Amino acid sequence: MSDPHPNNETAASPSQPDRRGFLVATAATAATAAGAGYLVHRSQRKSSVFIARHQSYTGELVRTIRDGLLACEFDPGTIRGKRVLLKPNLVEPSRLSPQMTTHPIVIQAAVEVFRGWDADVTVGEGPGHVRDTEQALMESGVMEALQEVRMSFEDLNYQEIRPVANAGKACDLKQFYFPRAVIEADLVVSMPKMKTHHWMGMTGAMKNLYGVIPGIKYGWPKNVLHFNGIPQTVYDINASVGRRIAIVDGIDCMEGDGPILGTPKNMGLILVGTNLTAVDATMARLMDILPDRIPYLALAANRLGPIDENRIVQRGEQWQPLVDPFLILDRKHLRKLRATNSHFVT
Amino acid sequence: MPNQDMDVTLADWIDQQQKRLNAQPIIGYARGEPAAAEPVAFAAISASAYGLKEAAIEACRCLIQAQNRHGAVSVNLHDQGPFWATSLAAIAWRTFEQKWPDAANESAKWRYRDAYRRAIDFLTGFGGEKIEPNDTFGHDSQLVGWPWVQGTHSWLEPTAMALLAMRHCGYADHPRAIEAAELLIDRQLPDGGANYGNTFVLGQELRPHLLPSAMCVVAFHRVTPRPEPIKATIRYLQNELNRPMAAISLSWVMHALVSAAWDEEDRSEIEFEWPLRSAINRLRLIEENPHRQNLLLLAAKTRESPLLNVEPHRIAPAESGVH
Repeated sequence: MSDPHPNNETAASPSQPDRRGFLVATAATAATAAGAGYLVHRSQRKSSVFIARHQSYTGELVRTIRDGLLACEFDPGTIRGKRVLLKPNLVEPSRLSPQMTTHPIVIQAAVEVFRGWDADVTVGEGPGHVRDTEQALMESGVMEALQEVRMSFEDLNYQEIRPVANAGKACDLKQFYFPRAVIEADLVVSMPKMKTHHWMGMTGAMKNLYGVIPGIKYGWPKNVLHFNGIPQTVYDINASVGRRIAIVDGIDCMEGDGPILGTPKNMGLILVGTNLTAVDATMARLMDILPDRIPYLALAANRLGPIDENRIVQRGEQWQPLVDPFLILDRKHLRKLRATNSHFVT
Repeated sequence: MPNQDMDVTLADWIDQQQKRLNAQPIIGYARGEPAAAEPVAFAAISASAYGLKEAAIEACRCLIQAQNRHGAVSVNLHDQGPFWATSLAAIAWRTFEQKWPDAANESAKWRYRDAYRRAIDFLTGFGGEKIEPNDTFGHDSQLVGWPWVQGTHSWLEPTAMALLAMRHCGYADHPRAIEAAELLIDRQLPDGGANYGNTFVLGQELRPHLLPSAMCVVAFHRVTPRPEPIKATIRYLQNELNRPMAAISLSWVMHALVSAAWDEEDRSEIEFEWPLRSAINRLRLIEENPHRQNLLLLAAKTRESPLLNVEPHRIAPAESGVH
């Protein structure tokens, strides 16, 4: 099937990103130019991950999130007056499956935390499967929640886009098109749901950043990314977005056939961290999954952050007593994810 | 939640929206966003529906200016793709031609017939990538429809848009249109409705979504006999109409349900006023959004919507999904 048009995602050269876009691209390019040296140096540092247990959607989530970030040595002064974009997971919201998407109460709590630190906060998402974003917001309950706290929403699927160089270069894409809100954000807060993923094993803070990729350019689903390799594009997107931290909704989670059709599993956890790779590695351990068996984490290890246990400083609760194996689909590509041959589901 | 009592009547709202559309047909997906092909195409179609000739001309010409030498229109008007909005541009040009045939082709520079024919040429020249059959997916991955982005698999919404464009522009019998219809039928869920493009993944049936489901029904408007899977999807949409729907989904669902009742002798009026007013009120609360308002404006035309202005098409039983 031939076509006279070049694949715009791979062939076009970056045009004229704005100043912020240029800064992002330049920083990313510098990182790439410095190559492994920069990345390894960065990854040698330890990262802190905070775990809070006994959490519920009626509890004091604002305090939990705030304490967790401070425990991870997040400096609120760095975002005072700056733009903070909260990025929940609203992949395919359904009234029938609230365990699929980030709970609206957790989003509200994060809004309050960052507002309390005088940041310029917005919430944004580019739902991966639902083209009608308004419908996704209604189904998820997020529309109502945002109205309650008088918070605007950035539709990352349809916003103005600009090219940013692919700083990771694990896949063949030369650049990514990011929405304005992502390029202009001083801090992107990945807010995933803790859940399994039927291709990757699990999905967490890093994979959640698929949602900063605009559907208008990449489709619904964002099939361009799939064709370029899920682990590779997860890695590259994370390498190309600016400063990132994570707040994980691990209260009512999803196991089995995630990320869409899995079943509910209550864990009652909130995870917080300033390095998404370390947060996801800890999440994997809590699910009784070996982090280095998750393809995108294996790629990110020692490049975007640590996954080794001895290089992750645990804050709050220790992860070991909280491990509760998540059911995983009994499929060949998922059977190697844990040390013991157990907790599989067909 | 939105107040169900509008402080203006539906007729007044439609009047206001026509004025708004007439004043500014070149729009993006939201206020402050750059103009994009899909919102401009729907502005053109809505303007044609309400007889707003100058606005329709402005929008149609904007799309012609964006059409590249291969006949394609990029969704971000002057970008290098993706080109899935080409189908909507073709419908907009054809709609204008049907409404004002003389004006549509009087100028060599702005000849809409040439524009939509070139658009269809482009559409028939490319399609989605096939995926080797395996037990991972439930759909027939060898059927070729249209992808969102060149080089990727065919998905349901771009295929429905392209099929609708081909039917509007007189290409209902083209092999690609016939294959597109097969693809849409193949991807309906067993109990009705359609996901964004899959049916089963790793053995699990996916959930139906409003927008792609409705788009499939509209793409089959006036096709006889109506394929059984499309009938099931109509039943799914009829059941869903009782709960709140967002503006864009509602617009397509209204078109789908009007289509479903098109030939019924007892064409009892479907109650659209409540969902329409709810969607209008919700937009008033969250944001004034001309693109979504244009889609609601179009849906308010019900049987007179140009989206449904296609010729009847008869398909052979073997193609109708009744096996």
